[in-house]
Amino acid sequence: MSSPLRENLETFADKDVSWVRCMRCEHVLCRATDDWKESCVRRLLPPTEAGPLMKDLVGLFALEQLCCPSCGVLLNSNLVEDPNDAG
Amino acid sequence: MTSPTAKDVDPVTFEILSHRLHEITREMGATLERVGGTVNTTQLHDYMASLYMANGDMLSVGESMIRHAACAGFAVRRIIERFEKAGGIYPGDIFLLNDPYIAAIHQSDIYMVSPIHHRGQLMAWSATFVHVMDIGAMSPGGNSPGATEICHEGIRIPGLKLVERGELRQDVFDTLTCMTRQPVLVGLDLKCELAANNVAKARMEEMFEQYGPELITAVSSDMIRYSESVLKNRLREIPDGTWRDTGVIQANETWKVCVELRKQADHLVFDFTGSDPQARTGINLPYHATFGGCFESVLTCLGYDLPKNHGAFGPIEVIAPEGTVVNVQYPGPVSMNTTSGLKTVSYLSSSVLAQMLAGSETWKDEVTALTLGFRVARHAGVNQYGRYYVSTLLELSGSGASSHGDGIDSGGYLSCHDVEWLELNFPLMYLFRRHIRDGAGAGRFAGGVGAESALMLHDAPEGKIRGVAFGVAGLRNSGQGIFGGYPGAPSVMTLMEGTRVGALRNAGKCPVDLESLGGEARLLPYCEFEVKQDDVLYLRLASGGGYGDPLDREPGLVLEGFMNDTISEPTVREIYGVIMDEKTHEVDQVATEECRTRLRRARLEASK
Repeated sequence: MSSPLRENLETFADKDVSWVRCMRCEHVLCRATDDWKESCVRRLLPPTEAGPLMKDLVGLFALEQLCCPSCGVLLNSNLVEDPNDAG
Repeated sequence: MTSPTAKDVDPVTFEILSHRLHEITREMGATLERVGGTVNTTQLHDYMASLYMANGDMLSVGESMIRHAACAGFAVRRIIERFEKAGGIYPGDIFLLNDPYIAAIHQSDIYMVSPIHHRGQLMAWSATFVHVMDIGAMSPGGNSPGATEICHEGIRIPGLKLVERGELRQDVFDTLTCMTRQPVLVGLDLKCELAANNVAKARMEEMFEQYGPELITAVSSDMIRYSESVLKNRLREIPDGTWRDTGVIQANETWKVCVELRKQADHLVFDFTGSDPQARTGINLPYHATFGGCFESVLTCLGYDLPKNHGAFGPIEVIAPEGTVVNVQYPGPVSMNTTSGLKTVSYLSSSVLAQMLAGSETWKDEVTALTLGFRVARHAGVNQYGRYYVSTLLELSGSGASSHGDGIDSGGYLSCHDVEWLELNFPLMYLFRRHIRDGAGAGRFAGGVGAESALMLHDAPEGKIRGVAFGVAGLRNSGQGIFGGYPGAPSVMTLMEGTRVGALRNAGKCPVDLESLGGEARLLPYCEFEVKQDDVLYLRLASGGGYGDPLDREPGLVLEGFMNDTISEPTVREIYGVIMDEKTHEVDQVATEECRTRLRRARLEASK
């Protein structure tokens, strides 16, 4: 028995324990009670990776990507403060 | 003989009556547009028209801003409280209110509420607002970046009778319009509200006469019960939980807004505890506006097909600590809040609702990425006919993608003004207005594309005009993507000073790329500015966020975007991993699959 968590992620029960897994490759990320984001591959990229018009954000923000560690499907993208911004 | 109830009505009559109520609000909206005097009403749809029960409960909302319909319900209640005690509420009365600490959102949005009687008995209320073109604030147009308290932001009216027993109080009308920079046009805007309320009154009286007041009241009550019942049933289908998000309002300073959504059974609590203290800039929201923003998000996500009425209030509770940006106290300023604080509250409440819906098998396909961008300017000065004017410059943003389709290009609840109309009336000329290339957030479904435009001064007797920049400023203002989708490009408003635009025009050229113009460019935060000869004002509105992994997008749709010039070849290849034949521009399926496999692998290798 599984139920959707969000695009490409679902929870499923195995005996008495619920887990989060990738719907694409069925890789199990973590227990349902844990934060699945901690189990992802995390990349910090220049904001222009999201498109050339993001150039004004360079140095201020970074594009954070969270991917399935098995198949590489993108699970989350977010603009975050650029950790390298000295200002 | 007993009074009829909704149960005595056959389903067909029930449907007819409920739709007739909705059509009345639509006719009110059409009246606002046709009688109105300024672009906000006649072209931009910056208005609201709705109906209420005798006690102020919302009965029917027109196809306009739902958040304002919620606030106008508060306005009806405040008018009842105030005038029941003194002044009286009589057939033919129309009341005016714009006090943000009572029910309005900011002073420029003038609410008019009108009792609807049948044979002397109060049966219902109608309400409208329009955003009048000036309100006597320190900046022309009302949105005042320099205001640090509400007293800088124009006239504030807690409730007065503008029409008494059918007679316009001309002394009151003249007093109000004379406190603005545009008395004639503001007068027309006020009169369009009077006209719309008169339309509501006439149509409702016809209904009461035809069907009898008991039946109309019974059907109205049942419509409200129906909406509440369906909404609560839908909520019970969704797993309980808690979801959070944090956003910022960025201008010359930055303010944080936090929300936590707690859902249990059929009850939703939006808790804004942790949001920043109220600002000395007009981005603050009164409590009812914060409630209205959440109410609108709930109806948009879960009740878009329901009769929009008070029934949707039932499941919603909003916690907003006093003295914060989401529950401003006197004398905090508010004049720019609809395009800053309210945008942020709508964005965040929609965000936590999207997280909630994503966990529901039934509702996961309703999830939509969001749009935060909305930059706007007022402009004022002497026009080519030698008359002083105030007006609005607006372009449209792209909306977020959803789980079943791309976002809408240059869309939203507002419209933008006509280019020819603007050039005919004001000393400005467009160099271009078009959709942005490479602005939309990439994803399995892409965000909608925002618009961009550039304008120059033209035939301005004083050689300059004054501008006021506001809206969702700052660079982190695009629509964030959802579930892997990329963010859209943010809004930008830039003043390019001392360009070559005049020389290029004199040489018979029509510059359509900013690079060729030269000059000094500066981003405009919340501020007043001047547009002079050889300056160019550039506006770019944010595009919507994408949904899902861009490498999952159907290659044919990527190609379509390329052919429509909304995405460039590098974006096709590097973000979407689609390889086109150089000559035919057809998708090379094999090369595309290889490219996408390589890009997915690179995501994993980069982390090692």
